[in-house]
Amino acid sequence: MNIEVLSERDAEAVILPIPAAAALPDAPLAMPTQRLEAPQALTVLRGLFGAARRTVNH
Amino acid sequence: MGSRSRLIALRSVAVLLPVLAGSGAAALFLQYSSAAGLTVYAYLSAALLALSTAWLAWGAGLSLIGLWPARRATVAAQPIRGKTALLMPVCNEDPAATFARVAAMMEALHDAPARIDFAILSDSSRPEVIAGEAYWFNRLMAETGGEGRLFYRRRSQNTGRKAGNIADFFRRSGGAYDFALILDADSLMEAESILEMIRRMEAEPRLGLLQTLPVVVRAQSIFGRAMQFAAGFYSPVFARGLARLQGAAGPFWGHNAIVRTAAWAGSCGLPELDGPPPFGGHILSHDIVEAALLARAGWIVRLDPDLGGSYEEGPENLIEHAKRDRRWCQGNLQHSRVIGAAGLPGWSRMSLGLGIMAYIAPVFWGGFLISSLLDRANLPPPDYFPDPHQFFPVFPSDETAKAIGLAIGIVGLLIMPKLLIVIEAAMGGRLRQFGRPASVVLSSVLDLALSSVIAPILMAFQTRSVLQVLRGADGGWPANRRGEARLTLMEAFEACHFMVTVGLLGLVASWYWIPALLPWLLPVLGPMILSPVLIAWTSRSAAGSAVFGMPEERALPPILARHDAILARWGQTSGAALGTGAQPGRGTADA
Repeated sequence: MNIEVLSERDAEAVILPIPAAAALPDAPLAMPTQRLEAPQALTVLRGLFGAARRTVNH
Repeated sequence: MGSRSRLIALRSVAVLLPVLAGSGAAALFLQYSSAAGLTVYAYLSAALLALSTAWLAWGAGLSLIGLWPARRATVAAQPIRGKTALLMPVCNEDPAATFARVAAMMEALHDAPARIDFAILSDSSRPEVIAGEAYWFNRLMAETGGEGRLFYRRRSQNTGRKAGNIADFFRRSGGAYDFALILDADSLMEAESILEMIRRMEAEPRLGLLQTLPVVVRAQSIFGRAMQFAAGFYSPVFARGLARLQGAAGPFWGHNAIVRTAAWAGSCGLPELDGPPPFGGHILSHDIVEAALLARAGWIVRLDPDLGGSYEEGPENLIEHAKRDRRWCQGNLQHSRVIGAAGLPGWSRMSLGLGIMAYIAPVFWGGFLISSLLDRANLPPPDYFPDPHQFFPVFPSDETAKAIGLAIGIVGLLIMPKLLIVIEAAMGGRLRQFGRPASVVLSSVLDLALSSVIAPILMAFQTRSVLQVLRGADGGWPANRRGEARLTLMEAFEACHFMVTVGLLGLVASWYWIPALLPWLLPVLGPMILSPVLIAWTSRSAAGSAVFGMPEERALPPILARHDAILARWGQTSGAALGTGAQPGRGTADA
């Protein structure tokens, strides 16, 4: 990234308003949540390796 | 032969070949090992070798199936009736580079005989990026006069990450469109390709998703250019094989694909998996699941590799590659929660399984090496006089020829597909697009050498990723840094010191206990020990080199030229504070 880091206050000062015409069209579409059942085998696998959670970043 | 019978025959060959190759490798290994006595480690090694060889054979089979050229499936240039939204999801990207891509595609589609709107869907959270997006959006709107067809929306919470960003668009505005072209922040597509995709969607009403094969462009480092060459030169054949095998249950790679809005909205509402990450929570590798859900609902999901004019960018060094791979690894292993979902077509389950295998296979190779070492270390000493009354010693039979045959077979599975693709490219005229034949052959040889050297490094990164995920560690979604390729030796060492340690321990252990195996292990341990040097060296610039040359470098595609021109114009007239740091010919993006 080559963006210079601004402070939050600086950024607020330079943020231009987005024109109202840029708002997405209002045309809702139903998007039902799909069912994806978990197989039992995974529960066993997770149990074998423990469930300690950590966040890893390279 | 009908198309269904042909599909069954192809799938049978694709599955049988790995089964036979894996079984054959295991049998040879056991025969070789039996000369000195079979331990439990020998059986374990044979099983791991069977799985690893089967995985290699799967790739080889894919290339064989894709060798035959496909006919270009053009449809008659009917007037386009449907309305399409081009979606550009962004998340803390360089706004100038990203918005210039939208500007380039808007310019290219200006006189197109179709109604196409452009929506920038931002999940950005960094204040300076938000400010940059607002600045460049206003500039884009003013330059293009895009009122009514250019939109911008920013979410304050990036719930569901990219999949959630896209879903939010469908829930709010999907009803206004027949089709949506889903891009990544680094995607560029030619106008004619976009129009052809819409025509193909209109020609086949059962088509729910149409995927293109994006070409990686603009790589500059040694690593980036090697990956770019491999993807550009070999991938079309592998993609053709994949398309032939998958049929109507094809792949979705998350971007550079068009979807039918009604099909997508009706089928692809992703649930949040119960439990914590890495196996629970939002589905990370959402694309393959969305493809499976479309297929489950009866929609055709198709990959058309003949569609050109589709571009993306790739990681420029091994560390960036490993970071992205860590995310994909977690996402693909998370599919173990999805693979058993009710109603999925068999081949969709196969695709999910193959995605998991892609990350487990390196663990199998590593396991095979360790297990083989343990096998040799635990062998009983040879008994030359099994019968106390015999006069002459009995020497174990020499099975070295079987070990050499096995090694040749495995190396053959690695090299044969690439060799066949070089021949295919030479015979079909594709090779000339990449440069002089001698340069292309040299590029292929260097690609083979480089990929062999970095394979143990990738294996180490992937093995660590798999172990981290299985331990329950969430890798999150770290942003890629594509513009900054060059790594110092210290930066490289910080990222890979674990494999240097493992490599050195392996070297000392094998030298101490089983020195006879050292020559066999050096090709794996050597690159691991030297990984900081290799990672730093391959991150160096190789821009302009004839080696790893690409057709897109010999003749810059029009859409890339437009993007360069816009970036150059914007760079001349604006300050650097709002994200104009991107240079023409160089993008920095990944949603």
